[in-house]
Amino acid sequence: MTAPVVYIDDEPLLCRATEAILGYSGIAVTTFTDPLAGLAYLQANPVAVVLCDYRMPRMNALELLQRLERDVPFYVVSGELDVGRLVAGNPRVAGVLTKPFPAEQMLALVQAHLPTAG
Amino acid sequence: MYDAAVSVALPVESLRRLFADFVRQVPLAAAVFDRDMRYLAHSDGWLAAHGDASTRAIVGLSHYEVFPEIRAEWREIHRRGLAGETQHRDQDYFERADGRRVWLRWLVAPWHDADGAVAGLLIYTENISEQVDTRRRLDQRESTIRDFFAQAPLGLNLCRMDGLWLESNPAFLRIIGYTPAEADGGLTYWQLTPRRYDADEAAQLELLRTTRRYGPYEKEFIRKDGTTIPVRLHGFLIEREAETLIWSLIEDMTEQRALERKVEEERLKAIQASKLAMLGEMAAGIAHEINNPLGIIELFAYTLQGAIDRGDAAGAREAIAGIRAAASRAGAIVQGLSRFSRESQGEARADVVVAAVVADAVGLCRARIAGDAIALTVDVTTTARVEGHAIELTQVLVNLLNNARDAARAVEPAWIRLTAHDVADARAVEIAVEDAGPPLPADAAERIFRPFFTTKKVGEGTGLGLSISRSIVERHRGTLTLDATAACTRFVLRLPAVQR
Repeated sequence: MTAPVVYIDDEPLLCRATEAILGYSGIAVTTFTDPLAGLAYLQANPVAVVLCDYRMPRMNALELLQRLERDVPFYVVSGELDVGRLVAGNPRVAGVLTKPFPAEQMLALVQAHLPTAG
Repeated sequence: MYDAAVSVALPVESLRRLFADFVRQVPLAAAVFDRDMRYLAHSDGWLAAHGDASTRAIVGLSHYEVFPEIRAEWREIHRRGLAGETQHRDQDYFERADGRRVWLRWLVAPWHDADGAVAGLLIYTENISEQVDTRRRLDQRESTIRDFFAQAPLGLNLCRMDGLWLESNPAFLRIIGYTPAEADGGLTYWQLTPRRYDADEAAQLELLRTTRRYGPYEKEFIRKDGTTIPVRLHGFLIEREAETLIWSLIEDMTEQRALERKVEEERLKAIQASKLAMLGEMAAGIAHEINNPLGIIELFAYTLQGAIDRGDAAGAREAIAGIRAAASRAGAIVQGLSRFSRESQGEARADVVVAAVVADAVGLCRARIAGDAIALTVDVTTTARVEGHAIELTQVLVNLLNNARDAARAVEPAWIRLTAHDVADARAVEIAVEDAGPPLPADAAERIFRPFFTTKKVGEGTGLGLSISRSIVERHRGTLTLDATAACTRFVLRLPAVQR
C-alpha cells in the first residue's frame, strides 16, 4: 500500500470532499479535522504529501510544521487573504493552495508527488 | 357764614385774638403776609414745615429775609398774588439753601382790606415729599419691570387658567410669530398647542394644581405661519384680584435642538467610522469565513460531476448536500456582515432579542478567534429583550470580542468566554466577555473607556472602540464596565430588560 496523501482541515466538509475527489481518482487519502491528531499521524507514518489548512483551533499550519520532526512535502491551504506573506521565508513550506481552488489544481499538485504508475 | 361772622359784634381786641389763634392753630402750614411780604401771622405748622432752629420769631420779618433761597419764579407768583390773582400748584419744589429739595402743594391767595383793596397774601403749603418719593419709587420699579418684560430674551406670558392670554412680551411674540395686535386678547394657549401634547399638558396642569409650579416642560408651539417651534416652559401660579393666573417662562429651543441634532449626527458618524475600522480589522477573518464554503462548493461540484458520470446517486446527493450547506453558510456570513455594516441611523428603536445579538456578534468573530487557536465558549441563558438598536449592540459585542481576541492570543492556553444571563429578577440582562489575558491594572478601569486610549500596536486599533461602545451602551440606558475584581480581563455589559 502506497503512502497516503494527508489532508488536515478543521472544516469537515472540506475533508469529506477531498476524500471523495482523491478517492475517485484512486489516490489514498487520510484526513484530520483535529490538527493534533494529524500531527501525531504525520510523526508516525510515511506520507506522500501533506495539505494543511492554515487557520485552525489550537494551532495553525506553521505551528504544526514546527512541531513535525520529519521532512515531508508540506503545502499550506488557506482562505486567508495574505497567506503568501504568512508562510514566506519558511523553507519547509513547499507551496500554497489558496481557497477556493479548483479540484483539478489539487489533483495536479497531489499527483506530482505520487510515484508515476507503471 | 362769613357774613354771619362779620355781623357778630365783637370787640376789636377779641377779633385780633381770634385771628391770631385761628391762624396759629390751622392744621396746615399757613402764613399771612402784608403787601411787603412781611409776616403778620403763621400757623405752628408753618415753622414745623419750613423753619429750623434759627427761625423762631418771624412775625414782622420779610418772607425773603427768612427764606432768602426763595427763587425768582415764586417771587413773581407773590407779585401776581398781590395783584389780585389766586394761584395754586399741586406739585412744586422748594429748594432749600442746603440743597434739600422739598416737594409742596401750595395755594397763594390775596386778602383784602375794608375797601376791597389787596392788603397782602395768604399762603398755604402742604409737604408732599413723601408721596412724591413713593410715587417716584413706584414709577421706577414699574419702569424696571416694564423694561425687563420688554427686553428679556426669554418669552414671558401671563394667562388665565382656561388658557386665555393676558400679557405676552416681545420675545414670546417673536417665538410664536404674532404681532402684539394679533396676540392682544383672543389668542389662547390651546390654539398654539399641537393636539399630540394633550396628555403631557394634563400632566403639567396636574403638577401646577398640586405644587403651584410646572416644568421644565418641553413641547412645541404652532407659530402663526403654521410651522412648529420647539420650546421649554417653566411656570407658576399667582393670585391677582381673586383670580388665579399662570406666569410662564418660554425658552426657544430651536438652536439647542439643532445642536443636539448635530451632536447626534456626529455620534452616529463616529459609530459608523469605528464600525468600518473594526470591519477592516476583521476583513481577513471574514474572507476566510467565505473562502471556506466557496472551497467546499468548488470541490463538491467536481465530485458531483464524477458522481453523475458514474451514475452514483449517493455520491451526487452527498455533493449536493455539501454544496447547499456551504452556500447557506456563506450566505449567512454575508447577511450578518451586511446587517452589521448598515448604518444604524435609519434603524428605529425596537425590542431586540439579546440572544440574537450575541449570535450575530459571535458569528462575525468566530472565525477570527478560532483561527488564532483561541477556545471560545458561549453560554447564553437569557431570553430577554432590550429596547434599542440591534446593530449598535452587535457592534459593542464585536468590539469586546475583538479586544478579547487580541488580548487572549498572546496567552497559553488562550480562551474567551461570553456569558449572557438575566440579573436583578430579570429586570436587567448582563453580558460578560472574559478572556485569558491578565487583568488590566486598576487605574486602567476608567482610562480604557477614553477616546484614543489603546494598548494595541500602532495600526492595530483606532483607540475609539471602547469609548464608542460605552456611548452606545449609555444611550441604551445601560452600563459598560471593566470588572476589576475578576482574575482575568472581564468586561460587563448590563442593559435594562424590556418588562413583559
